[in-house]
Amino acid sequence: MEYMKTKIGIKQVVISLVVVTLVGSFIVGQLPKETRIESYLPDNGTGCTYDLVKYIPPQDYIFKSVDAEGNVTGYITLTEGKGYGGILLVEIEWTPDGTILSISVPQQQEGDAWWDKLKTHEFFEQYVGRQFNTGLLLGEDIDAVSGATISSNGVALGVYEGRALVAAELGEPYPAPVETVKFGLGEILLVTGLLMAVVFRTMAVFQKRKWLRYITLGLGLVVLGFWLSRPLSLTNIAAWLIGSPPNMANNLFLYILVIGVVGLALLTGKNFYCFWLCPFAAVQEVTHRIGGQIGLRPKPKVYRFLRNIRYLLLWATLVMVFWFTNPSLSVFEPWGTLFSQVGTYDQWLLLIVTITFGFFIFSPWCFYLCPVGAFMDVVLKIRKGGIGLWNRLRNPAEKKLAGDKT
Amino acid sequence: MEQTKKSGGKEISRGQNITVVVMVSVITLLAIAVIFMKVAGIELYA
Repeated sequence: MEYMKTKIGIKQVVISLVVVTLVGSFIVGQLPKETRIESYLPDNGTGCTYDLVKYIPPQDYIFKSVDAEGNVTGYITLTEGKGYGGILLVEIEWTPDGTILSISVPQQQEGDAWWDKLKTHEFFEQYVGRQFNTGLLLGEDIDAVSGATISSNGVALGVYEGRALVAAELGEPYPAPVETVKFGLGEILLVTGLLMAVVFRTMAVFQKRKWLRYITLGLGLVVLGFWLSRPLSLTNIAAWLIGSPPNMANNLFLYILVIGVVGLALLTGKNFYCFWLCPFAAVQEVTHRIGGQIGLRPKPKVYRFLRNIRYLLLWATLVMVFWFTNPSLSVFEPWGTLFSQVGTYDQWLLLIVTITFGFFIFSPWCFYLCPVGAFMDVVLKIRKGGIGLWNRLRNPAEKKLAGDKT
Repeated sequence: MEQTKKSGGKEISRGQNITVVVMVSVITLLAIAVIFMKVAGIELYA
């Protein structure tokens, strides 16, 4: 009689621990939080009380403040917007006739550097003094902060919702504008780049011409890097994983990027982003060439060991992101600092060191540290494992054959 | 990946090995520091 033997090695133990910790932190992050919405209401010090007028799930509220005599002294709206790091909560203080007194954002995960851009460019001040029935449209009446457009738009979405609530309360309905999906030059170039990478890598005619890769890399550097400053980041993937993807109407680019790259990997088993479109890979190729193509590399055993750092970083950041349900915790990649020129001292230091070492080691970030690359490798491994399992289930004879081989 | 394929069979000096390990370790430590600062909410602005 034959018994099934299952070998449990260190690898299996590590993978199980990784899965358990990721699932565990995800569950912790999804537990209901004890944040009472009332705690966000300002203390006006006038003895007014706040009454909830209307609540639209999941997170749109309008309160009215009432004085001792029962007169309405103003309104507070707390509404949801969607920025780069997912959901943000916009709080607006309105006068009784619907003029904005103040605007603040008590909950956001946009990344401090970007958020500070909104503050220093006095983005919020533009709203103060405007009435609900006057222009509040981003791009027309309100200027988005360049370099932080996704966050600007996230706040604007919250303002539209708040305005709709106040307008309905004041008997002059003013629904949030219907958003149309914007498909512009950025999206066209991204789709072109992805298609080019697919064609160059899969069609035999092009496969031999290695230099073709530099075309897509150049396009990635110019479009995803310097122009739009929106390379594929772990944040984009993390936002999807915790169920708070960005607003589609204004971020079709991110949808094409994430779904396109991951979808193509699942369909074809190939990663068309890393070393093909990634602008930071392009930067490292440039440093490699300028540095006289030194390209130091360790012994194969050490190389394989060092490659695992990518998985370690991916795991660590995902655990944090899941636990705190905050995708912006994964914004540590050096390209964010390079292409947006926004970053804290530590981020600048990481960028400078990575680029400097790129003169000596070929693509140090891509080979040893990049969590996006690690994520893509996991996707490809899951695909391979899934196909293998499917084949074994469909044809048990193959399973026996495979078992015999090992 | 291409790089490692190319390197197949080539002698790699001990110095190279150590240099890469040190450089990659430095970047890793910095990356971990950046993540830690984010989680802890410490901001050092340039």
